[in-house]
Amino acid sequence: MAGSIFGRQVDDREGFASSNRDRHRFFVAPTVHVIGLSLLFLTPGLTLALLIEWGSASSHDEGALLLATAIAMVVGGALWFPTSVGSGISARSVFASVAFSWIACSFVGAVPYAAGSMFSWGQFDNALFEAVSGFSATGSTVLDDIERNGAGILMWRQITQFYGGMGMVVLAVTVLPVLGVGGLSLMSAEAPGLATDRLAPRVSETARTLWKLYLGITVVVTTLLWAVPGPNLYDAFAHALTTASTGGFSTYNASVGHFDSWLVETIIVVGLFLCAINFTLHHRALRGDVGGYWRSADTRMYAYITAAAIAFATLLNWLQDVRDTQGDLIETGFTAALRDSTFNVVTLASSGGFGNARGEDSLGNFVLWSPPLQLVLLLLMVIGGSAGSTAGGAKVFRVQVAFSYAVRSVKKLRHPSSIVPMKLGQAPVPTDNVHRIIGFLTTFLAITLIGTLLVTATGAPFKESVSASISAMSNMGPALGGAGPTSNFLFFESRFARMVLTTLMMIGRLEIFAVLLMFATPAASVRKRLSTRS
Amino acid sequence: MSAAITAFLTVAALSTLLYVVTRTLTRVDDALYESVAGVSTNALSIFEDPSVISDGMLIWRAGTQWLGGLAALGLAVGLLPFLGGSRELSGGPQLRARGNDALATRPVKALKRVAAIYAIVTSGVAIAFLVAGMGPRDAVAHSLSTVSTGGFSTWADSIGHFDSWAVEFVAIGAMVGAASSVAIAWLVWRRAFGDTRRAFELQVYLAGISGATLWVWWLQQGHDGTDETGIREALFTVVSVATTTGHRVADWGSWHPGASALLLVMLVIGGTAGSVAGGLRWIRLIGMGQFIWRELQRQLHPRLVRTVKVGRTKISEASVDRMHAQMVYVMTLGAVASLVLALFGEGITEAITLTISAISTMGPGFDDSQQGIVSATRLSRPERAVLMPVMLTGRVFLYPAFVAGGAAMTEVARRARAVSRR
Repeated sequence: MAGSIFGRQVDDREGFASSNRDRHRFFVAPTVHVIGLSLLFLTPGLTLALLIEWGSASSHDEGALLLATAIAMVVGGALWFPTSVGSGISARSVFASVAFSWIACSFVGAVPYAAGSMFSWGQFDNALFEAVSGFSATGSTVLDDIERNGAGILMWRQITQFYGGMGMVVLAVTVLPVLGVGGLSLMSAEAPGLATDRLAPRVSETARTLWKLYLGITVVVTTLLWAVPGPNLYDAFAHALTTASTGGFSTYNASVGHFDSWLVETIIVVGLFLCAINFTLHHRALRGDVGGYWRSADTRMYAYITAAAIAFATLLNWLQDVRDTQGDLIETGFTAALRDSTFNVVTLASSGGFGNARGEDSLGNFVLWSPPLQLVLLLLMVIGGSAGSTAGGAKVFRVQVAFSYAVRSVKKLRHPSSIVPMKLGQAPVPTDNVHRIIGFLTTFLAITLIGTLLVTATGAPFKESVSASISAMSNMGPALGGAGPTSNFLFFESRFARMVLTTLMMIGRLEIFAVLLMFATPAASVRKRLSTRS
Repeated sequence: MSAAITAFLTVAALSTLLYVVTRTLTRVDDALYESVAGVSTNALSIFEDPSVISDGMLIWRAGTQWLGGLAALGLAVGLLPFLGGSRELSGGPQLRARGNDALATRPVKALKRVAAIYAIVTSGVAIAFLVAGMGPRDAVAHSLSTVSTGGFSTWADSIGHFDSWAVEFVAIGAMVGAASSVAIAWLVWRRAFGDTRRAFELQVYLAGISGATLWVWWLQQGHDGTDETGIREALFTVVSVATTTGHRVADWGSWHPGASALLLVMLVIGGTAGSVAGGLRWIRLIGMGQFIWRELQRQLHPRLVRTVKVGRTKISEASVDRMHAQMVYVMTLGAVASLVLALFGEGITEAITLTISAISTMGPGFDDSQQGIVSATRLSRPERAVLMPVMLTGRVFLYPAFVAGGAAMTEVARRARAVSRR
C-alpha cells in the first residue's frame, strides 16, 4: 500500500552486474531474502489463528494450521538466513521480490485450507483462490458455507486480508537494513499508487509508520465494533482486520448483514471510507494538518464520487420498484434505501466487498437493484479508492489524469501550438508520469478484457464474467448476477475460470507491473547466458 | 470538421424527408432514426422485414449508408490528416507507391481519388453479387451497404436469405476490402502490388480475423446441444462483426458466451485505419501494445528513450497522445450512453453491447440470456433517441465531434462572459 502519486526511483544496476557473483549479489540474493522474510512474517498470524483454533469449541483444524506455521518458519528461515540485501536492490529484483513473495505467501497461506477440513489437497486450486482472495484483500470466496469452519481457520482467512491490505513486503521493509532508493521502490512496487511518500528519513521508518497507522485504525475499529450491541470480541476483531484492509471477508455467510445492526454498518462504512484515503493524509491529520484531506484533489474527487453515487442509489432505490428473486415487490422506505445504498456504495467504492443483505431477497442484495445502479457499481469498482490507501481499483487520481489528458489533447488539436500543462489539483504532472498512468490504465483494461474472454470461454454468462473480472482486477469481492454478494464464485463451475480470476486478483493487487516484470530477472539471466555461450 | 458533421446531418435530414414523403415511414422520429442509422452506417434498422419497402426506397436506404461511408472515408483520409490529425494513424494516405505519387498530398486531390476508388469498388462488388446469383435490386442494395460497411439488407434474415456460398464469399471479400485502408486499394490500382507488403496493420488485421474465426468455430462445436456452426458461418460472422458491417447469416447473439464476447472485442477494435469501417482501428491497438511495452521497459530503465512504431512507421508522441485520448473518449461516451440506456429499461448486457456496437458503427448488440441479437425493433423511442448521437459520434471518429463540441462550448462560454460584462 501506501504512497502518493509521482516519481518512482529505481536503482538500475544492470550495467554493473557483469559477473555471476554480481548477478547473485544484486538480483538473486535480495529477491530470496525478501521472500524469506515475507514468509517468516506469516508466522505470528498463523500462530494466532492456531491458538484461537485450539481454544475454540469448534476446533478441528489445528494440525493444518500447525503444518502451515512450520512451513512458513522452515522455508522462510531457509531463504532468509543465508542471504542478504546488501546495500541496495536492483530494479529487476524489486519486481521479482514483490511478485514472488506474494506467490510464496499465497501458496503457504493456502496450506491450512487444503490440509484442513475447508477443502482437500485435491481442491488445492480452491484453497489457492481463497488464499489469493485473502492476501489481495479482494474478498471473493469459493466457500458455500463459511460458518461450518472453525474459529481459528476463519480468523486466518481474516488475517490474510490484514497482511495483504498493507502488504507483506512493506512489513518486511520495516526490519530490513538501510536500502537506499531500492527500499522505497520495493514498497512502491507493492503499493497501490505510483510511489511511496517518505514519512520519515529512513525507508524502514516510513514502513513502520504506515504499519503503526494501519494497526491503530484496526484497534479503533475493533474497539468500536465491540462496544456496540451485536459483535463479540472475536467478531469485532475479525471484521476490523478486513475493514482496515478494505478486504471484505467475514466470518458469517450473511457477512455484515448477520448482525442486522445499523450501528455496526456505520462503523464499517466509516472505516472503509477512511481506509480508501491516502494513509499519508491520515499521518498528517494526526499531526494536526486536518485540512490536508480537502487540499488533496484525489481525496476530494473520491469523496464527490462516493457522495454522488450514494445520492443516486438512494433516490433510485427509493423511487423505483425493486423486486426480489421471486419477482415480488420489496418494501423500500427512504431510510432503508439510504442505509442499504450507503453501505453498498461505500463498500464497493472502497473495494471492500462486505455485504449487508439480510437474506437473498432484501434490498442489501445489490444484484436486485435496477440496471443503471448496477452499472454505476461496476464503474465504482473500476475507479476504486485513492492512491496510497488499502483500496484497489484503477485509483481516482489515474482517472482524473486520464480525463485531463483527453481534454488537453482536444485543446491541442484546436490550437496545435498551445502549451497546455497537465495538472492534478494544483500539482503539475510530469509527462513521464502521465505516460505511466495511461500505460497502467490501458494495461488494466486489456488484462480485464482478456480475463473476461477466458472466463466466458468456459461457458459463463457475459454479465457475470465481465463483472467478476473487473471485481478481481479491482480487488473488490462480489460480482453481479449469479456471483453477487449473497452467492459465491462457485457460480463459475469451471476450475479454469476460477484460476483465471485468481490470477487477476494477484495482478490487480500488485498493480500489474510487478507481476508482468517478475520474470525480468530470470529472463535477463537466461538471455545473458545464451549470448555468452554463442 | 464542423462542416463534415453538418454534411452528415444534412444527408440525414434529406433522407428523413424522403421516408416521410414516400410514406415509407409515417412518423418523423422513426424516419429520422432510420436515416441516422443509415448515414452512420449502422445496421440497427427499425424495419423488422425490409422486403415490404418499395425497391426504390430500398436502394435509397442502402444509398444513405453509401453516402455516410463516403463522407466518413473523406473525413478520415482526405481531411483529418491535413487538419492537424495524426497522419501516421490515418491509414497511410501518404503511403507512396514506388515510382508513383502518393494517394493524398492535398485535400481536394485526396477526396477525388477516394471517391473514385469507392465508386469503382462498389460497382465491382455489385457485378460480383449479380454473378453470384443475386437479383439486380439486391445486388445494387447490398453492394452499397457492404462497401460502406453499413449492413442494411433487403431481407429480414440479411445475407442468410440467399443461403449461397458464392454470395457469402463475395460479401466476405467486399467487407474485408472495405475495412482495409483505401491506400491499399490505391496501391493495387497503381499496380504496386509489392508495396502492399508494407501494410503491417493489414497483416495483423487478417491474422486477427483468422484467429477469431478459429476460436469462435471451436467454441461453437456442440455448444448447448445446438447444431454445430460450420467454419463458413463462423468466418462470415467474424468478418461481418470485425468490419463493423452487421450482415448476418446466423443469429450470433445466441452463440456460446465466449464467442459473443470475442465478437464484441473484435467489434470494439473494428477495421484498419484509412478505411470506411468503424471501431478503434487495429493501428491503435498495435500502437497501444507498443506503448505498454515501452512503459514496462521504463519500469526497469527509467531513462529509456524509445519511439512507438507500427511496423516500420514511427508514431509521434502527439499521435500517441491523441490515440489514448480517443480511447478515453470512447470509454466515457460508452459509459454515459450505457447508463442512459439502462435508465430507460435496458439490461446491463444489452445496454453495454448496444452502446459499443453503435459507437463502432455496427448496430446490433446481444442480451444476457443468449436469446439472440438485440435489434432496433425492440428498442423504445427514447432509447433510439439516445443511440442516434452515439452512432453519429462513432461515425465521425469521435475526435471531430469532440473538437466541434469543445469549440461550441468555448463559444457559448465566450458569449456568456460578454453578456455578463454588459
